[in-house]
Amino acid sequence: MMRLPVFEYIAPKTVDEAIRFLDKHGSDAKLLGGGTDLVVSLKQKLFEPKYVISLNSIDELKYVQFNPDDGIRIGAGMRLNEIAGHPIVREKYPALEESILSVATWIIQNMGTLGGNICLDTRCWYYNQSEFWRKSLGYCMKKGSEYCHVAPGLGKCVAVFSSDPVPMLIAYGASIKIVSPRGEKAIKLEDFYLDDGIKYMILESDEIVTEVQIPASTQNTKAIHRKFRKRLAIDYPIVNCGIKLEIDSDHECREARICLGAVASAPLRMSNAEKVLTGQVISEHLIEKAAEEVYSTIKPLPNTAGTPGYRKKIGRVLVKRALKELVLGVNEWIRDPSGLHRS
Amino acid sequence: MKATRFYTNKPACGPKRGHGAVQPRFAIETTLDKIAEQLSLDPAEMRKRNAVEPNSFTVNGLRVTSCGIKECIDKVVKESGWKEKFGRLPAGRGIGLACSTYISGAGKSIHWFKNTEKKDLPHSGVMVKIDRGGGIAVFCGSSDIGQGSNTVLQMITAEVLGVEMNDVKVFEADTDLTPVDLGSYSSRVTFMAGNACIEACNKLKMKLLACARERLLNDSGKTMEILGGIAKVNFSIEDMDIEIAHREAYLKSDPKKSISFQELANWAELKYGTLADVGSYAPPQMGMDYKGSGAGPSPSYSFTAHVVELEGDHETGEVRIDKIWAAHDCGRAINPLLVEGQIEGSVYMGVGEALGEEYSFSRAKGNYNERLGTPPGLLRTPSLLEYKLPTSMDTPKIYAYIIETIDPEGPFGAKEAGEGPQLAAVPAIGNAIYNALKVRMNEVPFTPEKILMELEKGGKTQEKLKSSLQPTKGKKVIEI
Repeated sequence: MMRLPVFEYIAPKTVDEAIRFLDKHGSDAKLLGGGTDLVVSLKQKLFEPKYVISLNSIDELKYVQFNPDDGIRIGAGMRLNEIAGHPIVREKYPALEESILSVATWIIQNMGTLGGNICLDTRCWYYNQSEFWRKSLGYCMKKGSEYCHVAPGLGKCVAVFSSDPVPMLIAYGASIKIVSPRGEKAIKLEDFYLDDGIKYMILESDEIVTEVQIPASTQNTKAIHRKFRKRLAIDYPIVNCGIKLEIDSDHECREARICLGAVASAPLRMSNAEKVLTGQVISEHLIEKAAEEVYSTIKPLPNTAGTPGYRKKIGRVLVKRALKELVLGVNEWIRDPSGLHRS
Repeated sequence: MKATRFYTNKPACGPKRGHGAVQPRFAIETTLDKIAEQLSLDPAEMRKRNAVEPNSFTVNGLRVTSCGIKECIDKVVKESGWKEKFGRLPAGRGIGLACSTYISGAGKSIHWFKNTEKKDLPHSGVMVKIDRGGGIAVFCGSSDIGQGSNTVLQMITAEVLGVEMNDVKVFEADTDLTPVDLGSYSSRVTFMAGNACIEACNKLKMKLLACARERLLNDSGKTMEILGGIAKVNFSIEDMDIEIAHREAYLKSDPKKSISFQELANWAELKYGTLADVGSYAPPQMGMDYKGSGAGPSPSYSFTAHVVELEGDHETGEVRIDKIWAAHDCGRAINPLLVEGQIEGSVYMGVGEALGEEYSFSRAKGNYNERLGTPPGLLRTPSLLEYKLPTSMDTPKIYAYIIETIDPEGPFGAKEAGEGPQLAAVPAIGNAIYNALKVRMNEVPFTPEKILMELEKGGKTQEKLKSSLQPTKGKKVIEI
């Protein structure tokens, strides 16, 4: 049995209090949202922090505000299922609901928070394992060694960013609010991530993500989230994607945003595929072309379930089928790739 | 077909449901499917024509007692609509069939005092004791590992002695307390401990019947003579005209004349001393004289047939199993609920084995550097995240059918149910994948990667698939 390491548990009541603590002890501390990822990692001794700061008692992080002009603001402390079940989210951002419901299982959606999911640690076959296993491996670059078992010559960690909601949030054009002792700032969510398995986000040790803001959707907005996995529950994505299109009344695609997850250390915008679609009336031919662009853009490595070649092909199929569903209303899946579990 | 065991530096293997039978069964049933295709025979019909008959011997000398294999095939063929579906499903959809058989306990014991007389020691012993309150204690070395063997021993005891199940308490697997049972493996506990239990209970029942006859008919001394405390019966059980049921012993010819089980037990104890008896079971001598003949002989065999219907994706290689129909001949189902549970659990495990579960190990990359580098032989699937058991979302609808053939050797005619129903699942799924996508999967698990790789090798696009699924001209599929 794997036990938690010894740490001191801190439960501030306000963001201010949390920031004051982080200011002093940030580098010795880990932030705890729902704990669905962190607690497992702690048991595997991936982290041995002096302090674990729970954000669960901070009521000011739990809210959903909607304004038809500006869009929706969601507190980072909201549980995933609270967001998925929110009437405004269901009505205005249905693809966000899909993305959340494809996370692991309902039990994990009940605990996991939006902030926690955004800051989700990157994953790798050689990293997310017990201390015992990693010791026999000789550890890896992300923890305990300088050697990468996936791509030894690359000189950087290639662990995979596997959040399900984040590619959708990026496709929706979401921004986040970050609070630190130096004040408050807002940045685009896609600028938050770095393509490096160790330093995968720009968040500093004294900062907290407090809010997600998604711009208002219009009646021209069409969005979809799809996730391919081996099992239909309790499984990380082989590849997932969030797509948002703005299609005006004469069927022309004004804007296309396609973001893929689980193929690199950061969620990836598929700008070449987006270019194929932008300014066009989307046809089956264009969809195939965009999917080919995805295929040639992504370069997964052998570090999660599914061989790299297979993940590349699935990326192509995933984007192709998601676009077909979204634009042409054709569903070619034999298993439900959304989280909604429609039968 | 050739089977080999390898000694490697990987962790030692251990037995799992269908121990040693899953692998050859996959090879056999896949081969049968190929043969049926080449001969343009319906796979179900071909298996029925060549099926083992009841009360026969196989070529390798195995003695088959009861056998419901044809009934199993008929049942799943009928329930699945096989005749309407095989060869007639749209592209991507497929249906597959496979059968299996399994031993009801190994004929040779695992202690196997080889080449000595002790090799014939009983495989299972049971001790039964009746106390003055009418409660019954059953002592048996078998371990209930969740299959419900304690419940079955309880039921057997209650049935033979005519009491209720809650009068019986089973003490299991305590080697200080219980007679030897060789263990919960080889699907043997109901069969062997059950037979031993019946023997012990029958010895007690003789005393009870004799005593009941004496009390109810006042014919003391005529029914029994006691030799050294062992009851010797002058009548057969039928001649005694006594039945014990629902804690009451009564005259069959005049059921109003009755005595309660507890009172009867007290009178019997007064007459014969403490009421306790033992029973044991050893399988009859069997097997032929050739190398390897020790593995395979069993007092009786269970039979199974599965039909699987699924859909395959030609672009992703994924497979969605919709339904599995499983019919299992378990002799008599002493506890039908437990048998059904065993069939469903077996099918579930078969699905996992076919689609996702895999132990894989890392290989050495180039020149393995001891200080750096991935050591070879490291388990790549160390947790249930990598070792992919199916979740409830991935589990198909399972239809379990019990086919009863009353086996002459089994307790109340029962045979095994714990492992046999698993064996057919893997090849049935493989055969259904072939039927759906025209790719023959020769290695488990049938992961989407492997299926896609096979699809690409065959270069079959959906269009080609469609044409290949049309019934071949000039060839007649023989129907059942």
